[in-house]
Amino acid sequence: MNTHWHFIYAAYGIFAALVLADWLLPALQLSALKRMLVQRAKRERTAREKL
Amino acid sequence: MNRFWTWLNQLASPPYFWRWSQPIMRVCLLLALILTCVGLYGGLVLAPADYLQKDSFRIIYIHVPCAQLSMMAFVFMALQGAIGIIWRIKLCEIFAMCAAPLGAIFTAITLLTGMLWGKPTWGTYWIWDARLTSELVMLFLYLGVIALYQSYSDVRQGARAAGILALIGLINVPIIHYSVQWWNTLHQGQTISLLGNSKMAPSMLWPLLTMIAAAHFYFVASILHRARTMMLSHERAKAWVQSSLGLSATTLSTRE
Repeated sequence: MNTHWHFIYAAYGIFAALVLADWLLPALQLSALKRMLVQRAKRERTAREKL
Repeated sequence: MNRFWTWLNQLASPPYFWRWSQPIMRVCLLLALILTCVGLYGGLVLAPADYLQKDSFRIIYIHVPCAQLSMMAFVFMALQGAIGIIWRIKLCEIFAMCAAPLGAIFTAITLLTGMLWGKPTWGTYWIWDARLTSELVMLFLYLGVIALYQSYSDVRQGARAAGILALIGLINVPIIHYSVQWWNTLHQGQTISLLGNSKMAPSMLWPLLTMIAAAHFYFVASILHRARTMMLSHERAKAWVQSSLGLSATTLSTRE
């Protein structure tokens, strides 16, 4: 194996890491947002029931 | 014509967008994954090593698609920004602001993979060559657009201001594209051409074209993915969000 493969591995590693981050960060943000909205709706409903 | 505009406006309305974007996003992501697997197998396993650059040329299969995507994202961002400024369509402002981080990531990948390709090929990671410098300028433009958008407390005002910066920065796209023709650069000239003949052997070319197609599908999927997140974040107080997420009182009670 020639040394060129080290550069290829590094390039593909950076590519995979950044593309994965590009997809996962908004996905995590979306699921956190959905969870927050569900929690808020539940809290509001509980408050309404107490009244 | 009026019916067309009505249909277009309906498509751009947040509740409609929330519904139609998900199946398209999933299909595009699936196609991108399949084409990436095929392209990478072709590029890393089937394609022969280059007679001059040996195996290091295989970086082309991520470098070129990412470079194309970085420029395409900028054109898309400026176009959506312009539509947002002229017609005040909320979805276009969101699309423009979603294209900025995506474009920045792909510009960073282009620069980093280019550096890793440059070391074994040119003997240096970096040189202030016209193509490399103009691509770096584009990364700064993307970061500028993101920073300008974030600096406003009113997201719509921020999107319009950032859209103006994107339109100004658009001048850099033809500079990047033609830099290898206008100046005597270390960076190689255009290898593939849509209209003319490509300089690559077919055994090396098809994986590259497959990877380019994969990158385009990923671009659509990622833009829709980011736009859905941003749309939900902006519209969370609206009634359609409650109904779309099933947050009505009856649904909540069945969840418990």
